[in-house]
Order: sequence, then structure tokens, then C-alpha cells
Amino acid sequence: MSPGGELITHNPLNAERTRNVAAKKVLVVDDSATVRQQVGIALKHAGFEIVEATDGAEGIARLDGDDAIGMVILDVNMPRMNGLEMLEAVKAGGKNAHLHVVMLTSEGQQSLIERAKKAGAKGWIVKPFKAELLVSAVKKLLAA
Amino acid sequence: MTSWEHDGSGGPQGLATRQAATLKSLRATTMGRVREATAVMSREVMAAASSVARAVDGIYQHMGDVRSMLASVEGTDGNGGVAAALERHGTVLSHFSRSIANEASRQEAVASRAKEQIALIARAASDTANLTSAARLLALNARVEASRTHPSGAAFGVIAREMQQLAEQISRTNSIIDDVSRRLREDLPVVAESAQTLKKSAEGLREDLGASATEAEAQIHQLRALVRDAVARGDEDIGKILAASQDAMSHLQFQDVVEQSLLRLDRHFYVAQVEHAEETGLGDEIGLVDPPVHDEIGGDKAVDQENAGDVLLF
Repeated sequence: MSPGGELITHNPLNAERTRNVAAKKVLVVDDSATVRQQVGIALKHAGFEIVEATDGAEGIARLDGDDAIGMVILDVNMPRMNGLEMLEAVKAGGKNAHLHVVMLTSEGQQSLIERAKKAGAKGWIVKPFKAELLVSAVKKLLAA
Repeated sequence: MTSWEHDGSGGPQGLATRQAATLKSLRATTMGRVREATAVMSREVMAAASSVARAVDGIYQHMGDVRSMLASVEGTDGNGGVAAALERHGTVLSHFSRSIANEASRQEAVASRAKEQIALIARAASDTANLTSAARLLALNARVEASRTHPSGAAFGVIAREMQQLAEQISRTNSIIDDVSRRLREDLPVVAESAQTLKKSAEGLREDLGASATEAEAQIHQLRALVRDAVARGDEDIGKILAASQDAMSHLQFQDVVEQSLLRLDRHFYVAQVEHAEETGLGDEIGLVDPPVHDEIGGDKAVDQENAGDVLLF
């Protein structure tokens, strides 16, 4: 993946203990049930609470209905409203514009990454993701 | 009239329509079969992921229990632990033996002072014995004077009786003092000896406790080191298990790649149907073609495997 940000590398034996983290709510938006489940497992083990949505439109509805959500993990390719459209809609203004959004996708095209970055995304993770790196990224962004 | 006009085939237009219908049927059948297979795979993948997650939860729970147990042994749980209990026990015994030794020393000193006092009493008794002799002699002299100076010697007679009674009283008192002194002289060395023995025992106990405490301290130190080592090794093992489970989870994400490929396959069918409709002039028949579930934003590009797992923070 081309540069333009901080690349987090994988080192499982130096894994940070993932327990004892203050509970925060993360919205996971992905049309794949397996991805939602696996993101949920990784983040729940790290002490986060998970809310799920299956596409961008449902994701926006979830955000509007839950002020406790502190971050969004967002797939790109989804029916009804894709992830980039949801990102642009959220960042266009409103009460959720401040939320950190990380894209989680099997896409790695530079043009898409640039579009997400320009829209206000905080990160781009290429599937299949490594749970430890995902958790590290979420913790880092929520701590910032 | 061409042959197709009366053979019922409908000619090129009919052929194109049948081809379009075949394409549609092929798409529906293929995608249906693939979706069924994908759905089964999805359920299995989620079941496998749940099993891995349960195993990890179980390991976390177990390790939490082990850590609590070890913390209670080590005393880092705020309850003091076994090591602290041993230390407290040693301290109590040490204080107890010290107080016994101190008390024995005090008794020994009291016995020693009592011995000195008895010696003084013995000397006083000896003096009073002399006084008794003097009183008896005075009584004898008074009786002699009384008999010699009769009748005025009656007064000497009174003095003689008084002196005799005094001498007898002093003698009885002296006898009692002698008796008490003798008994004390016999008993006090026993008391002093007992106090000395008790003191030696207490000091011996303190020495033993000191040696025992040193040994216990070494054992406690070793125990704590073992506990810390066990916790560290447990954490390392948990780290490895967690990494392995995360790796397994990562591999299970092939399901998402399969689902992405399914969407691409559906799009290929869709494009083929549209192209066929356009090439055969079935533009009006485009209604036969269902659009794909959703357009892939990345287009027809293959799934990015080279950068899989990368995390880029902006």
C-alpha cells in the first residue's frame, strides 16, 4: 500500500494485553456477517462494545440513534450506500462529523484511499485484517 | 419466405431472445448455487470463529483465575498473602520470646536483690540475738539488785520481769526471722535458677526463630520469584495463544474474499447479459437483465492480496 500515513506492523509476540480497556462503543459497518463477527470478537476481547450495521444507510441510522458511539469501522463495498458515500455523508456535517472513521476493505487502490483521506477518514485497513493491528489502531485513534 | 418464418423458431430475434433467457437462467442458477454454498460456508466460518472466540475467552478466564490465585499467594491482592502471613507469624513469635526473656531477666534481678536483702536481715537478726543476750543479762542484774536492796528493790524486780519478757519476745521474733530467712535462702536460688533457665530458653528460641526467619525469608523470596515467573510465563503463553487465535481468525476472513468474488461473478454475468442484448439488438429486452446487487466501487480489479492486513493511519 502506498505511503501517506503511519504504517502499523504486525508482531504478535509483543502483543499488547488487550484487557482492561475502558469500554467504548464502536460501530462496525459491513455487509459481510463474518467480517462483522470477527471485528466484533477482536474488539470485544479488547474491552470495546460493538454496534453493527450492514450498509451505509443503516450505519447512518445507527449513528443518529446512538450518541455513545465513539468510532466507526467502515467497509467500502456495500449495497444501498457504500462506505465512501457514508463517510462523505457523515463528515459533511452534523453531530457525528467529529467521529473517527477507519475504512476496512479488500480494496487497496490509491485513488480510493485518497478519496477516503480527503473525506476525513483516519485510516485504511486492507482485509483480511490482523486483529491485533486493528485493535491497536482503534485504541490509538480513540486515545488521540 | 425464409425457413425461420414458418419453422416457429422466430429467426435471429427469437434466437437472441432464447439466448438472453438462457443467460438469465444460467446466471440465476449459478449465482443461486454459489450463494447457497457461500451461505453454508459463512455459517461454518462464523461457527468456527465463535469456537475460537470461546476458546480465547476460556483461556482469559482461566488465566485470570490463575493470576488471582498466584496474587493471593504472593500477597499482591491486598490481602497480605501466604508470605505476609508467615512474616507476621515470625514477628509475633519473636516478640513473644523477647518478652519472655525480658521477664525472666527481671525475675532474676528481683531474686538477686532479695538475696541481698535477706543477707541484711540475717545480719539484723544476729544483732538482735546479741540484744537478747544483753537483755537477759540486764534482767539477771535487776533480779540481783532487787534481792540485795530489799525493800526498795521492788522496782528492780519490775524492771527484771520486763527485761526478761523483752528478751523472750526478741528471742521469739529472732527465731521467726531466722526461719523465714532460712526458707528464703533455700528458695531464692531456685527462683533465680528457674529465671535463668527460662531466659536461656527464650534466648535460644529467639535464635532459632532468627535462623528460621532467615530461612523463611529466603523461601518467601523464592516463592515470590516462582509466582512472578509463573505469571510471566502464563502471560507469554496467553500472548502466543492469542496470536495464534488471531491468525486463525485472519485466515477465516477468506469468506469475505469469496463473497467479494461472488459479487464480481454476478457483475460478469450482468455485463455479459447487457453486451448480448446490445449486440443482438435486444435493447428493449434489457428488462430481462437484473442489475447486480451493488456496484463494486473498486471496479473489476482483483481483490488486493499484496497489501492484506496493512493498517494505514492518516
